[in-house]
Amino acid sequence: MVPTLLVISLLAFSLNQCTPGDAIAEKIPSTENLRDPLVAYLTYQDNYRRLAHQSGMDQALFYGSISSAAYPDTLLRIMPLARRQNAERLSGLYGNWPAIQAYLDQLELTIRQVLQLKAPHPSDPLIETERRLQQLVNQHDAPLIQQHLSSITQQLLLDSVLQQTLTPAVTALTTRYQYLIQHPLPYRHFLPTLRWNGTHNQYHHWLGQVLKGDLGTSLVSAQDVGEKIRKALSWTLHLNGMAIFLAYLLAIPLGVYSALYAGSRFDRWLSLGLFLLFALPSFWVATMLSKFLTSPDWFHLFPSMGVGEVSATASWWTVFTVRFAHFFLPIVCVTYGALAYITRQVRNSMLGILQSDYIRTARAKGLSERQVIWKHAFPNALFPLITMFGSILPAAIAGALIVELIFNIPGIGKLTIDSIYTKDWPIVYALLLLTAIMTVVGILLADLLYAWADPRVQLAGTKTNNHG
Amino acid sequence: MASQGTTPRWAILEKINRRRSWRWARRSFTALVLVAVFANFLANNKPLICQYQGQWYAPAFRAVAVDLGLLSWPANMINLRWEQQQFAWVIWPPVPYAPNQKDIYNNSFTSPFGQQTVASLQFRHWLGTDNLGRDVLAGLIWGTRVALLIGLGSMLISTFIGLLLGSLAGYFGDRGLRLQRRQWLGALVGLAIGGYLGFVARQPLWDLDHQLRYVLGGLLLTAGFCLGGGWLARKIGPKKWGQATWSIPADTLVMRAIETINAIPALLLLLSIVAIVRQPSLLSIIIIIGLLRWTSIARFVRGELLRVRELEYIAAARVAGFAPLRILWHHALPNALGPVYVALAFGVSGAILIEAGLSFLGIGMPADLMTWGRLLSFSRQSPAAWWLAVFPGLAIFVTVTVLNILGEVVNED
Repeated sequence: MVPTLLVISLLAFSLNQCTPGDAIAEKIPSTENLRDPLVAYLTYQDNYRRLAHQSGMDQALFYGSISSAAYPDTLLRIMPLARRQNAERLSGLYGNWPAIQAYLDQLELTIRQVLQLKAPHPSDPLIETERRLQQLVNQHDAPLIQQHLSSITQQLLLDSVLQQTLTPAVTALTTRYQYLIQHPLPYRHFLPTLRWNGTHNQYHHWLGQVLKGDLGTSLVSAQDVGEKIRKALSWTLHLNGMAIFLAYLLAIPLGVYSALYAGSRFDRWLSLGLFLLFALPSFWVATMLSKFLTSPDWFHLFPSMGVGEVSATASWWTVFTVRFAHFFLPIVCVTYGALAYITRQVRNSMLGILQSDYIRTARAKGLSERQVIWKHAFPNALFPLITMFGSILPAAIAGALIVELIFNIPGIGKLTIDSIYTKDWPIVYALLLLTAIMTVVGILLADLLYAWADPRVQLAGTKTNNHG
Repeated sequence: MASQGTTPRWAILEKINRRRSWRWARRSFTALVLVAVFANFLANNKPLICQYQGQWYAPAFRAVAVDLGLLSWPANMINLRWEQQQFAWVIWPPVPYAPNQKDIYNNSFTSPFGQQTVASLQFRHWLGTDNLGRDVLAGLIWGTRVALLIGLGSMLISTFIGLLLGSLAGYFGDRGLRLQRRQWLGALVGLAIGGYLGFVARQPLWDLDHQLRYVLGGLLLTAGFCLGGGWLARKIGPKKWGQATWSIPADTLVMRAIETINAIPALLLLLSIVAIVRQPSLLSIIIIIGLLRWTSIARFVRGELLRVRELEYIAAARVAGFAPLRILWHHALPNALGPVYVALAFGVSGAILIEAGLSFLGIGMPADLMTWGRLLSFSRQSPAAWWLAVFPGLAIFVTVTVLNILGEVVNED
């Protein structure tokens, strides 16, 4: 169980690292009110560096790392993220870090000179030069860089002040770039470099936070992710708990009954019905129900969307009716799939038991049919339901994903999808981790429960017995 | 089992003909495949055959050749809007609309039964249009192709992985797969070198957004070096020390991997992986679904092989001195394929449901691809447009049912 969770935490962490976008740049305070462009620029960089340090972005990703010698170990100190990625791309393309560093340092120096000149001398060529330089910061493609560089050189010719002050810097920049592309070191890709980062790394930090219950903050609303998930989880658990309860409530009698009368007309029709229900995509049913039963264009039987408004002082009966009206259709959508599955399991398990020896013995010693069925067969037929429960809840949560979105219920499913739409990655991966933990714990609990309920099962032996 | 003349694979095909519902399922599936294959000629805004400006053309066929890179359009036809031309003589496809073609005269949700501004009955939108005037029937026809491509393609990958890992785990168990010590050493060294060359040294590819190439090439290189290292070490490795054998705990490893993948709700895992792919394509979806959904096939193969490997004819083959891999491939595996077939059919329908769900949400699918799920999602824009909700959903439902029936065939006698 623990190794599984560790692997999943690694997966969630590394997926989170692959997400596009720069979380720090999103929440950095604006520096536009600062008059002096150079000061604004430097302040931005300082702020970025400070925030990045707070969030641990300047730390190594993992305990140890292996990379090729083409990449410098100082890569993590380059900020902002876009620059770091560009330095990474350049390193990947040319492998000659000293030359790349020389070029990037000169680029930074040139930008500062231009910004310094901007307040006293804001001419058009200067603005254009600045724009081109800012683009160079994120550019790795050789033809485009060449184009920017030659264009900057031409801009300098248009303005004598620029020509005097900036020519040395721009010339140095061009020479350093030429040197870089003429001296690539591709063999460095084949030299492995192993590094040991110790516990001072992002994964360790993140895992520690997660274990303490801190899942980070949302990128979009700056809210605590844990808090957001807790609210959503309560709605989802209500929805799914209700649905699973209903499914069990209906499935057990249906399954037992159709097993008792296996082969009867009832059994055959029920099998067919459940088979079709099983193939019915829940998001289609949800779309149809929400379209035809909640809109004034067709039959306005149910309130349209959401969970309903209830004032804090309302009586429990009002709360109940409002919630019932809003939750009826979503619960139907989640229930029927689980119902089809559980009924089938109950039927099969009951059928198997009715054919076993001890039932024959019970019949032979003259017990009434009712005693045989309800006292001897039925309790034993329920064992598989316990195991199933561990896997049904997560399946239901995943199944309710789109249903929640369609009926606008602010649960985990809607939260996940909305977070993907708004690129709020911490929430997405926290949810991934959380549902995985829930599943693993659910399966473990089910196993324990099973062992407690059925003394024939020994936990050490279950591993070899429950395969497909 | 082994004494039977026919292998279970063919027995299944014969069995399908036994019941009427199974025969219908088989026929419907064939029809779906035909629709998917011939979508270009069933729904297209280019005529099948036409006489245009005194010349004979077959634009719909030529378009296929152009897409395959065999031919190119003449200069005056590259941007020609065929649907607006006058022809001396023309045969249109049954549905004379392309899936993404916007009919400006019938936009904003034209009902199938309502008034339509069309030239003739042939150009009627039989299943209505969406808000931009895209024909629903054309979308359904082309959506069949996407659904089946994703369903079958991803299951092809899943079956490969599932068969491989499931048979290793089931047939060899934790003790059976023994490697010489030198092979172990060679394979581990190969794994390290291949992993380094495949993933670390090729990192620029990932940084430059060739993610698919990076991952696939990396996997290939790693596997190749691992196998090659083991082979080489067996050939040239030290004899005395190296010939002692260690076993691979194949069963434990595979079961652990299955547990881990199954611990995360499938759709959630898929969503969170698919969402970060920078340039989503049909291929990337197929690969991602294929890499995540092999677990049920592997479990079925494993369970079945645990039974088969204890049978007498396998023991006989072992005594006769056949190589383990030969016994596995020729003797054990063919008898373990029954449940695989079930898992495969349900796997395809599951993958189609996932595809529909992803395109319903608009996450991770190429933006210009017309699919059933996407059509269904259009229905949420207009409460009155019942045809956008009913028909695509029906297509998904029918396909999934047909596949599930085909899967049931093995389970029942």
